[in-house]
Amino acid sequence: MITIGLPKGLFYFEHNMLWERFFKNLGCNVITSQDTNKQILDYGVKCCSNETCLPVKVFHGHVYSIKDIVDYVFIPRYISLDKNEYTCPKFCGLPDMAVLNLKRQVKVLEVRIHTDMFPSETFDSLLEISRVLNIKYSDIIEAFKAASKEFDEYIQNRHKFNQYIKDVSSTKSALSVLGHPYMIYDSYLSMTLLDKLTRRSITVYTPKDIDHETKRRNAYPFQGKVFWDVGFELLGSAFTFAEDKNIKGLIYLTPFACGVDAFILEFIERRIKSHYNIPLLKLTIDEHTGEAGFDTRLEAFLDMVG
Amino acid sequence: MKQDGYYIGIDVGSVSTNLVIIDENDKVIEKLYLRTSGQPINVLIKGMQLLAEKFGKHIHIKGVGTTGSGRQLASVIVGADIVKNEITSHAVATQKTVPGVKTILEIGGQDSKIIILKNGVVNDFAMNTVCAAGTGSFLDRQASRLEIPIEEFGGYALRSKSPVRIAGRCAVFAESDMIHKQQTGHSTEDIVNGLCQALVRNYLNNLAKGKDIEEPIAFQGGVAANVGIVAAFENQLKKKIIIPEHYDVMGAYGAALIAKKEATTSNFKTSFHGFGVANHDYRAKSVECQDCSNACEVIKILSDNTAIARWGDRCGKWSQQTAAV
Repeated sequence: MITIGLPKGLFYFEHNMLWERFFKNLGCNVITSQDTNKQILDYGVKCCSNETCLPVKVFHGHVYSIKDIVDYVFIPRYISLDKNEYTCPKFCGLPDMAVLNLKRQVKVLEVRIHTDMFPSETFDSLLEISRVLNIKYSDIIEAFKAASKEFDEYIQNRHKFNQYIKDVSSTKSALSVLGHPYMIYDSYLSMTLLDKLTRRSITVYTPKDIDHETKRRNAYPFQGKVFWDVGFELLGSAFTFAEDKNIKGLIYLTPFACGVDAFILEFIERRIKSHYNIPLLKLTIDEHTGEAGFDTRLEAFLDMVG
Repeated sequence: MKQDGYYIGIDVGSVSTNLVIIDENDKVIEKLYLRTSGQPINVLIKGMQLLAEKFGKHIHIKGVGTTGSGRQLASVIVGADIVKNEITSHAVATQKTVPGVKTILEIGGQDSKIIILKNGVVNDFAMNTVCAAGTGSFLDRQASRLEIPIEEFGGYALRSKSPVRIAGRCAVFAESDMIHKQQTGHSTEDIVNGLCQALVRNYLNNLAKGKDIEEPIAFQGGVAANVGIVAAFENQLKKKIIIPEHYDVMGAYGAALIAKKEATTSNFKTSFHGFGVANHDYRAKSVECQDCSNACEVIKILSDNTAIARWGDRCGKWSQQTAAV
């Protein structure tokens, strides 16, 4: 049986289910790398080029950690996941980057997704997978469609914020944590931010609690324009949460040197200042493991929102 | 004198460790500003010794508050009633000394902060990010490189006729820029002044970006002693800068005030270990836990060889052990 490795970084936090199902539908054995830990971080920092952000380095660590126990490491090439929406350049070149940084010591399978301009590329790449794995193309397509359907249904059903908005009697105070999924849901990179908040009995909402269309509608000022997908997600989330009186503050977690965040944060900061009266805390993460500075900012922010 | 209550505030920062004693009227009756010199435990104990010698037998401590990046450490050693972050502590202290303060500028050893208050509550704040460029330790280093005592650094800046432009964004670039300016023959005064201007420019463009700096403005932290920086702030903001009386120990003062407020509102019995802590031997041991791939750096605080606290573990296995004792 063929063993496929899924690195637990970057795309994983949004789309793990899709790819896990896809390969399982094909009868493959799927191994996921461990949660990010110091060893994975060290591998990543060692083998990745120095100029990238921390999550990309950590992703390389995940690839490194499973490369010898799997037949192929799966790294999708996300270029555009929707009309007018593009990913960070690191995502566009991720399979190449991993192969080159690991000195070609890893066998990578990729699926290309370029919804905006070249949707057919996805099928070209599935054909390639069919050839490499020696599985009939029609079986690959069938497995992919079944996995996509299941994934779409899951996404449709997960938006708890919409229900929360309806519950107008709710007096519980809550915060929203914003950031790339691979920052906020990776508890090592986020210095267990979500845990730290829930331990203080704070209800936390993140972008995945809001549905796709609401975020697009509120992604001021980029509605209907071409922008980064994560930009639509975060601008839309920020302004949706800012409208809600139960949300007492926004925390934006960003990796040091993220170019995409530099833009998004600027747009959020400006509009929050001119249109809303909600506190915003920007937390920057890099390779340091000392949590004192992080906790100081977080505690002061919680004191401030009360 | 025995009946009156007193409160201790301790701020263990990266460069200085400050201790303050206040009385029931919020008046500072003693303050110590000690260099941490990378040895927070020793300095803290030394500070406690100094306080014990002067006040030990006469005063009754009703509450202790700790703050600063070493606040946890200080808390377990002296037995603190409250452990508070620096931002809140600074805000509390400044509101006490500068009534109606709207903007607090604070530059310490490794941190710089800006705190914006509206209607007496913290409305917004920012701290420097990952890098310590433009903080006190950088000035310290440059002063010693130019062989100027740090106390005289600001005076040099004021004597400058025409400041040179120094890159302020990054400490490493700033230093090479300074060296190049020296080599081309600029006077030390002009370079020092250029550096003060650069530091303030960097502060205002980064930390204070997009924030409304309204008067009254208080400037505190160790760097507030530097008249060159104060002048640069006034010059660039075109506003008056107030240096609070206890500018160098505001964090500790705030922690003491918060401890006092807590003690009076919730009426607790202080967990202060007494001035006797100075007679014990404290050590910190760092161990890399090998139980899982996280390999956390666990810190163990020993008091006379008994572990009194542990932290640094992500899973909580070690920290819980001592919390239960």
